[in-house]
Amino acid sequence: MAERNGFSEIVGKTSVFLGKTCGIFYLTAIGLSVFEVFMRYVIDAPTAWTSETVMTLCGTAWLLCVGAVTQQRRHITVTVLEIVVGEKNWKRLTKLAMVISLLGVGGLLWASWSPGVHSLTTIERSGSAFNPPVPSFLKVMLVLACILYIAQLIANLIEHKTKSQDQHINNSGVHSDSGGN
Amino acid sequence: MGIEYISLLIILSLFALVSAGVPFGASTLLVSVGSALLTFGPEGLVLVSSNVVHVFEKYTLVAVPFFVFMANILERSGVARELFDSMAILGGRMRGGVAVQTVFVSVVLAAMSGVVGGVVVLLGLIALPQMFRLGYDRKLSIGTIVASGSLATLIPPSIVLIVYGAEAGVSIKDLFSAGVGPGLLLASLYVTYILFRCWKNPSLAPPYDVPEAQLPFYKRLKYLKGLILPFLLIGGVLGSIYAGIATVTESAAIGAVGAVLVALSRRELSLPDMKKALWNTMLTTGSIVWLIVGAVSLVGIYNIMGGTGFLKSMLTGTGFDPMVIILIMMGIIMILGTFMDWIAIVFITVPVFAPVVTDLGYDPVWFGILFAMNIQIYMLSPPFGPACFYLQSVAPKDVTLQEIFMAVIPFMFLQLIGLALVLIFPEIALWLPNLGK
Repeated sequence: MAERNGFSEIVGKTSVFLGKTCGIFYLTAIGLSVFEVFMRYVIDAPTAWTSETVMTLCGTAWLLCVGAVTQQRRHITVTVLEIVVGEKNWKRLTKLAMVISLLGVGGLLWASWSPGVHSLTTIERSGSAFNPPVPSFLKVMLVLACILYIAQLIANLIEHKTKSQDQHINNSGVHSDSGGN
Repeated sequence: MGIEYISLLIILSLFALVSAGVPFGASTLLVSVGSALLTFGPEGLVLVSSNVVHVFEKYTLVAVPFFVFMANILERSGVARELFDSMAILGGRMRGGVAVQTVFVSVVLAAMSGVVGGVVVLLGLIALPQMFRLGYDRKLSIGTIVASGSLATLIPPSIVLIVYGAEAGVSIKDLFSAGVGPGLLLASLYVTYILFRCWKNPSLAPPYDVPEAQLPFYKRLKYLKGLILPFLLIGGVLGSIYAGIATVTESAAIGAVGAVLVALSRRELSLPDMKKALWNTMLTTGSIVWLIVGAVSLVGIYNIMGGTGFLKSMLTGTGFDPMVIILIMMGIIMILGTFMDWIAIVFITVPVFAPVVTDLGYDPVWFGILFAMNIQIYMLSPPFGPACFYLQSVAPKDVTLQEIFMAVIPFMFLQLIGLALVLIFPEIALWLPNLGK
């Protein structure tokens, strides 16, 4: 069992870790925004770098959180059909939905791959006074976020399969004490 | 294939995917990648990724995690409970007093947080047990909480208005001011309804029974102190925007820091609380952003295919009176609300509707408010009615979803009346933003 879940466990832990990191990014962004207001209105010395830094921190958090959102099954989804088709069919549909999600995100990975790789060779800058290489950075991060999203979806699929197998064993009464894990 | 068939195909496939339980974000991504490939071939994929990258550079959206974090911190503090207790005592032994106070408290909470879920959950935890204990009519209590909790879509700093403003390119500051009038209008409609029902049948709402409520009015005034911290926070956020000190995003950060300071000063914030608040902020914001990613990518591709122009000409080419076109748009939003999430509705309809509204000679700020009022009705209506689900998650076990959906019906009528009033008298929304010009 442990071997079978090895992949999903590693991916899940990575997703949760990155999700927690996002919290630190948000806190830093909040702190920097208040700092900017203070610099501008109290000391009268506005900075040239805070708003872009805040944006990049939040943008990065939005990209990196995708694993945790997927792991916690928090993507916004309509579940009305569950009542109509019944629990058993809904489980099948959930599996199908994950496979379809894989296709959608795979499409985004395909779409963002060459701009991402191109960014590694030709650095694109924002063009402001501060001029950070944010556009290139975000394009690379988008590729990484898609890979994380796909990995977590596969992990969820494996977990889904393991769970329904366990449940099947439980229901058939062959292995009645496997529900503890 | 003509754009009309492509449009139909997109709608049908989206509907099928979403109903099958595929998340909105992934559904819209798949449809947009598919449309790009079918129309432009593999080269079209560049359009998808360039649209998506822009989502992560939308500065206005930064206000969303900040306000969500603020709401999460406030939920963990006792500020809301103290506010409710003080207001209830101030209301004294008036029939229906607790329900009326609940409406007032929701307006204050909405002005502090902007997140409907947060306000409804807080009221469900604080006000509902009180009203049930006093023997209030169950439907009246439930309806009051769900409806007034949803005022957070209109009263600044509303997340709905931020997302609308970001997509329609309308000043969020103006939208915030425009939300005040209609928000207070709805609140007063709810109060009038509650008082009318209690006047007709006093047994619906027994008087508040704590001893302090029986004190003479001037003695009860000292309970106003429960309002100090909330009003300081509201003053900090909205004051910094309107005094021109901070942008909306910066004021959200000020509010977040303020909420942390308030919670710390009351010794109600531990490290685990902080971690939990950050974790929830990450999840809520992440689910919103990854829906926006899909919707923006689909609408971007659809626009290049000429779809947005097609829908626009379909709306304006009808020859109908401009007001009828506005009504049609409202109807479309309502229909979409029966199977879509509000964020998806904003990102799918606003790119088409906002230019049409401007072409027809209407103010997009006014339309934004109508939009938010419509979303507010959607918050209550079956089968999704997110606000109803929020309440059920914290209500006593015997409160069923059916009971909640039944309880909100009279309030939905009041919302429709409010919507009609703002539709006929745009000044209800526009007087405040126009005042500043």
